[in-house]
Amino acid sequence: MKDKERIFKKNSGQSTIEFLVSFSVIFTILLTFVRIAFNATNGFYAHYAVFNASRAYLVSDENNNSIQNGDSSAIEKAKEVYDRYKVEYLIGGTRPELMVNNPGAFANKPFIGNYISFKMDFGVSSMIGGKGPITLISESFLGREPSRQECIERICEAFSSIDGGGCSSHTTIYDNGC
Amino acid sequence: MEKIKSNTSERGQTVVEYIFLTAVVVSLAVAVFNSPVFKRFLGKDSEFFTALRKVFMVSYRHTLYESSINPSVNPEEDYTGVHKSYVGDNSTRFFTPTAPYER
Repeated sequence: MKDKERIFKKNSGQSTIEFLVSFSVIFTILLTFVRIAFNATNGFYAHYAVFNASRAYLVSDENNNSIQNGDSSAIEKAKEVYDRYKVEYLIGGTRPELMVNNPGAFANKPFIGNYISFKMDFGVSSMIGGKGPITLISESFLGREPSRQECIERICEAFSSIDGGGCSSHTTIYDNGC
Repeated sequence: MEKIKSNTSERGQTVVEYIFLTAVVVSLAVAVFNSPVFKRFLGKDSEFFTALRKVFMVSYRHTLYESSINPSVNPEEDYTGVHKSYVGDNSTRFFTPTAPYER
């Protein structure tokens, strides 16, 4: 009987319960903002991966025999660089596909380059802030340098317009002093 | 005599009081969580977090802190329309062209 009374009278555990109740709310709010901060840093990593892929796309030239083949190999090179960063480890889910705006197939020239679009969870709890995902878009439009083949074709076109011949004929350009 | 003693003892009073207090605290918590002020700030789809979500998406893509821009989900649409990173307020943030692109 006395033992039972002792159990009811002592207050140990009350503060633990109160601490847990208040702590869970405060901790969820804190975690929400920590999550948002991590979203930002993870997002910057994705930006960096896309930027480096765009740099590779800008300069890639494997001396292909046509402009289209050169652009295709540049796309492969950009994807190879992008894949090295393994962005999915930080942003979660599957790796977003690197999309390429190709100069041969894209009308708006300022937007030649690479981009990705992916989703990340915004908060940690649906009660505080909502947990639904946000869509983030990372873009890098550095453009694309003309390939060696493109330069050859342009030079050929310029020479052809001078002598009227095709690209297979030889033309000599000289300074006549005028 | 024993019966009278057990009726007048204070055993259980603390427990009952604690239950009452817990009920008051829980009802206060429910009132707070359901209040419009809480819902506007911290609740699910609250105004504060909806705005934060939108600003986060826009600033991530455009590095612009403008709540007037609507975050688009389909980027391709902006490459044929007006891209906010490229032209806005009669100025461009791209370093090559000085005039907006022709559409």
